[in-house]
Amino acid sequence: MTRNTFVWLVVIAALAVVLGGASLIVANNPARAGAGAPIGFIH
Amino acid sequence: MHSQNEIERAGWRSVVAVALTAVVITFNHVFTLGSGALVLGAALLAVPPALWIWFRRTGNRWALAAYGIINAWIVVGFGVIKGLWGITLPIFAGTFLSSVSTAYPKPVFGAFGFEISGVAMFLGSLFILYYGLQLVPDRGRRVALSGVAAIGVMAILIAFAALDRDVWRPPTQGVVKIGVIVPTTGPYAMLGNSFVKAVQMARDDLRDKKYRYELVIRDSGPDPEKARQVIRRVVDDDQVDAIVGGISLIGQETKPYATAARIPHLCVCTVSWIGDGAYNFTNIPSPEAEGELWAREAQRRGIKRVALLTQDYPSINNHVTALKVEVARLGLTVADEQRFDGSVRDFRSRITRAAASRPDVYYVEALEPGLDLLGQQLGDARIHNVSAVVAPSLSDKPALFEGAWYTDSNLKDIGFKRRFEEKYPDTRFATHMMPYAYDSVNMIVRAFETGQNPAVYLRNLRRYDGTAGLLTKAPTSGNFASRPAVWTIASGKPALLNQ
Repeated sequence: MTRNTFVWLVVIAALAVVLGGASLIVANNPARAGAGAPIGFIH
Repeated sequence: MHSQNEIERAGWRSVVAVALTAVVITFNHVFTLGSGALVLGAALLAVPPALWIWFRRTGNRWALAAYGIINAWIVVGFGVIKGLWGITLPIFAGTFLSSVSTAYPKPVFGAFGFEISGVAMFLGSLFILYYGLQLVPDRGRRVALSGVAAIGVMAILIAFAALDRDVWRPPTQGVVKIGVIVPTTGPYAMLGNSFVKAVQMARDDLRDKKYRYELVIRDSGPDPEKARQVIRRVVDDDQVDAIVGGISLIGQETKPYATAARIPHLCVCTVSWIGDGAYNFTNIPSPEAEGELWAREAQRRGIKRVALLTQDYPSINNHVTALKVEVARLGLTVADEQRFDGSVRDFRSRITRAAASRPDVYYVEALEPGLDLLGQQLGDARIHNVSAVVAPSLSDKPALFEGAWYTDSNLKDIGFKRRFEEKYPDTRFATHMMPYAYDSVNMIVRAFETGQNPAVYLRNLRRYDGTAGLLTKAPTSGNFASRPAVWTIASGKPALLNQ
């Protein structure tokens, strides 16, 4: 493995960790902006 | 010094990084600009490569400078301001900080695609920055610029941690402005007007307080679209310090404005997601709590079979769903279930069908005018074993439901209702919301009187003993839970049972 390939692997892994982590946090946040709320409720 | 080949290579990599980031920027902006994002995307995809090709072919320094400026715009505008500050830091730092201290709000996220593309926008801008720096021929200058970028990111991190924290600020000139946003016209007028009166009564009852409390009362109207303008004016122009609101339809519109202004919004609403536990909180019994009490009371009365006659309407359907869960849990039987449209005026065939199922009780729930027509036609059929959640207290003719029992908000302090009716003899007391409106104002007052940031105070509050009984809230939750009570219609008026 060349040094260049190694660096790219590290970069891709870091990107995956950041995007994956963000996906988990956003998907598991209970305070999402209320998509799918019914309309017309009274109270 | 870089060789020409190295600059050439870095240049094309820079162009590729810009193009890929442009795709992500376009996707991200579809959520805010709609199809207008495609124009932005087309410009970002076409202009930078054109400038780079122009520079390579002619060596024109203006072309290179323009290319650098566009790179800087993408890195600073889309990468740092929108991607890092607006999206990536709230996701990572905001979530972490709110998990270690309630002084930090739980971040509220938008659509999944918007948030993740925002992070990708920031990551893309790092590549643009890296390859852009490779185009700087002088190594010393390149290292210096890299250092400035690293220090800039660190400074942004520190600034975020400092600015994201909610701190106590004494009210300007000792006056606390509380915005009161409910519809007082249209179909919610009865609820809205009595809500306003309950809030006014709470303010009038204040004695010996450190600060002066002013109510900024605004009619949102029943239309969410128009309500937005009213809410915006209350928050931006009136500069209120907190909001008390009611009706989920309007509460969902108030929520983003309260979050943006970082002021607490206590909503007497049943839709639980409005209460995010950051700046927005709900304060009313949940449909599940109503259903649980209803089923328990039915069991206590020896009821075995239930016929459901309910209007197809979101909040009513929520009650029915919760009630059916509890009814099944206690071994009761739903003998007949009929859901009707709000336009139905003749219920006789439905009543006949329900009667054929030999129920011990008829569970009815509808909005006016259907509610009173149903009550009248049940009476005509000599059916008086009627029950509900909330409905009879909203009836224009509660006498039609004489003897019916139902669950509704608790009134620990029954004197509150008496005082309300004496003070406002022309306003109907809407049991379902009034005690919570009164308590919500007092919660906000207590926050200011104890010298705490009101949003942080509400995040930390676990128990509140008010006119509606004991309100409790789980850690990190945005929903104050409370126990409803069993009511009946006696002499044409709602009366608490076991009082």
